[in-house]
Amino acid sequence: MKSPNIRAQIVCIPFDTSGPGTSALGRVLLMRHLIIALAGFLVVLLACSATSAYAGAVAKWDFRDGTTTAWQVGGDVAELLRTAEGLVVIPSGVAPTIVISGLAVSAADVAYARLQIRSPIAIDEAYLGWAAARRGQPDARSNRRFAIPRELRGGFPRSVWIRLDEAPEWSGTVQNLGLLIVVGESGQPVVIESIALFPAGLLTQSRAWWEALALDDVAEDLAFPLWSLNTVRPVMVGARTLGSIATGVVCVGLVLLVLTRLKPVRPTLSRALAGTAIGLIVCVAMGLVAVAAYLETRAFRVEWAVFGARSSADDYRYMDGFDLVGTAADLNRALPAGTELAACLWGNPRARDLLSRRVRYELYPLRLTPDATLLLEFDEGKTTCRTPDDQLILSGLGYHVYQRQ
Amino acid sequence: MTYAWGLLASAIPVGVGAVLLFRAGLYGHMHVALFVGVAYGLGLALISFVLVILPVLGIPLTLLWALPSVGLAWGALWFATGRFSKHVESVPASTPASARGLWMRAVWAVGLALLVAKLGLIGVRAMDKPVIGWDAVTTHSLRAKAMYYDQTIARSSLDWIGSADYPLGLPLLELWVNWFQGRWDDTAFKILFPGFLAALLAMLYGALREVVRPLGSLFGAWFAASLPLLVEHATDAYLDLPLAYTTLGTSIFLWRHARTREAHDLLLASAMAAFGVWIKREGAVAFGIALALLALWSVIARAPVRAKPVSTLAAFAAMPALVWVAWAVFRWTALESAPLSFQPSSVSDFFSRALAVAAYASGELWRSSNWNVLWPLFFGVWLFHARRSLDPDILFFTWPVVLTLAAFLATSAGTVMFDFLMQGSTLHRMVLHVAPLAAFSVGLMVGRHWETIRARAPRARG
Repeated sequence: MKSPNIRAQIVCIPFDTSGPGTSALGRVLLMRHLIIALAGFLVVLLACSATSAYAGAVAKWDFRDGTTTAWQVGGDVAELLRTAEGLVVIPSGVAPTIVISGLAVSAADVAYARLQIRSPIAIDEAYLGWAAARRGQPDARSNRRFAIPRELRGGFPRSVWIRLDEAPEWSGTVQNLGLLIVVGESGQPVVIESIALFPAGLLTQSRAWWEALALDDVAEDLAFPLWSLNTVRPVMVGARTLGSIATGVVCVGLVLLVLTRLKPVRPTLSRALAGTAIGLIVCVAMGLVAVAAYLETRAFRVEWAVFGARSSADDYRYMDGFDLVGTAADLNRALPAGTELAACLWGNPRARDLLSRRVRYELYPLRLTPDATLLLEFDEGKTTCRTPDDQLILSGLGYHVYQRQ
Repeated sequence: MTYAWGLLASAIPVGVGAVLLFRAGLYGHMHVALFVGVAYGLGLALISFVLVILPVLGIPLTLLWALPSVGLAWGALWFATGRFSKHVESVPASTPASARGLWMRAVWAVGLALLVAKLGLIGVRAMDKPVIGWDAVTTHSLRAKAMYYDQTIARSSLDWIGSADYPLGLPLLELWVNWFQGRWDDTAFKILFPGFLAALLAMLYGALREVVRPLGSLFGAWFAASLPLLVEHATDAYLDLPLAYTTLGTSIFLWRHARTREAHDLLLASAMAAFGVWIKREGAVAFGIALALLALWSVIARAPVRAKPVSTLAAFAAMPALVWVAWAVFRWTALESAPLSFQPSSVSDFFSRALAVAAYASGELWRSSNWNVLWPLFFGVWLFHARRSLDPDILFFTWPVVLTLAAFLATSAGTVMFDFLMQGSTLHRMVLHVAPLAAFSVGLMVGRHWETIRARAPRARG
């Protein structure tokens, strides 16, 4: 027999109507206040963000106008080019250095230095050094070490914040600054967009705190396709993940809600507890939505710059580090479908395994099998698996195929 | 043109599914978002089931043969559902739009626009870069590529490529999308995945709308759309998001069936479960759990007198069981590669590992950034409604989550999967299968509570 009124069945389901006697109007007002508070919080965050102009610098050298000449060659620099992109440091040794002298900056007025920099490789070792005159004490010379992440294809300078006021030698009057970047044997030029010194203050500290969240690094992890998407990189707040802090706050909210379920002593107290609990949970949830929106938007921008309007072959070349797609296309033109090939690969076991799967995918309809009589070697890996008896039968840009004997 | 052909390849399944649902008289019987969301999966399921039959009949696996074959199967179903539709009464199932005025409507419209923009952003992200995921390169996309070049499903390829245990649902769909490109394209077929996310969110919103007002339902959809790992899986080709979609669809239609007693809800749940079994091996686990819960509902939990447990279970189980058995028979008789097997550990090992597994999993759910605050809210809401554990709301949304996680963790503690778990390579992807269910569960229970408060508001204001 058919139900006479399906809608009634669907809508009118038995559910628990017990709970604190709270006013719906009060809750709606509370929600509005929460939304306004959250909007205010977001405005403050934006004001503190790296691109905000609200925190003024004590001293700033912007090299993008191509005219700033205060910084000069210190050592290991073949040439300093002043361009619209910034100050291009072309190394002549492993540790190019640039310096500025004749400053008279009170160390007490400066808490942070910020570099906006582009490096094609990640640099683990870079130093900001200084010389300061101190009244009644010996002059101080010291430095702070920091790291520079690599620049992504398509732009995106990196902002590096260096805390100076924690160093005991950061005192007196700073007269000289030096920037030493250990590029090693790579000889890759580094582009410095700007260097700035910032005072201690709420806005500066907020900006440094924002940078310490490394949201841009997390977004880049989202943007770059991971070989195994098992998890996303957490946002770290100090030593804890943002997730664990948010979960902790939500748990506090839930405990408060449990308290309201107990027999209330006073309805007003119960309402206040429930309101606080819901407020905490809603604020945390909306804050996380805002963080997620920031990360996704940034990831989108990075992906668009790195991959947008380029061919798959070009994207794979960028990610693989060599032209595997071009090699596969060449081989598929030269060899009949179904031909079996063995590949000579390189790297640690994990990288090797991953590479073998990439090669297998790209080569199809050629087949990659370890026992094949044809051996494929790549110039990229600088690895050889052939024996002296094996005969070269095919060669192309970056690869060779041998007939195994 | 990659976008245009990709959109066409994705639009056809939506059209195929929507017309069948319309023909069955189900338009207006469910919220339009739920209608569109399920139409996508229904169309994709039909296409993938038709495509796998072509090689069996000796027909080349090409677009030229596939289009008329899909059309033929679609026509047959159109005819069959036309007869079936006589028994369906078209009754709107969703609550009316909120009448709270312009302000609320404006918030809803802005929220919806932002959600659509977010989905657009995710779509562009997916289509920006070629496929890169391990599983895709190792197994399912390579299978699709092999089918594309071989123009059949070659047994030698299935044995040679990755794990032969993986069903063929997704490779066939990737093949379908690439046919429209006229070449093998490493990027184009990824359009399926933002499509799965959009369909999942549409189903979630549409189902919530049956008990919660528009703004609350939209909050629920946003809540799910903000789960970072769920979103990331929409930008690359993994099987987990499609399985999450079918798992949510199965639960939603079982939940509807528990309230409407309508056969079409049961059949739609069955179709979604069958599609899940056809997508990933774990789909069989999801189906088993859904079947067990349906049995529990039919037999024990407040089932009405007129419910017929055996026929209900048979109607639900028929399609997924058929798919599972057919694939298992083929896999065991036709393929030579060794099946994946997990040797169970000793009982003492199991108990010594169980504690480590529980600690690891709870820590990960607590600390990771994959799920925002989903899990404390899910378990908190469950705690609040523990007394109603056999109600359809909890039976079909909360218990599948708990049972799936329990089954996975027990398997991990008792087999070699322990190592994979502790290396961090399996937990969150398994959790992804049920995360939308958990988000729906939170949205549903909070929404119901909110509606209760609203219903009492006039009295509270006096």
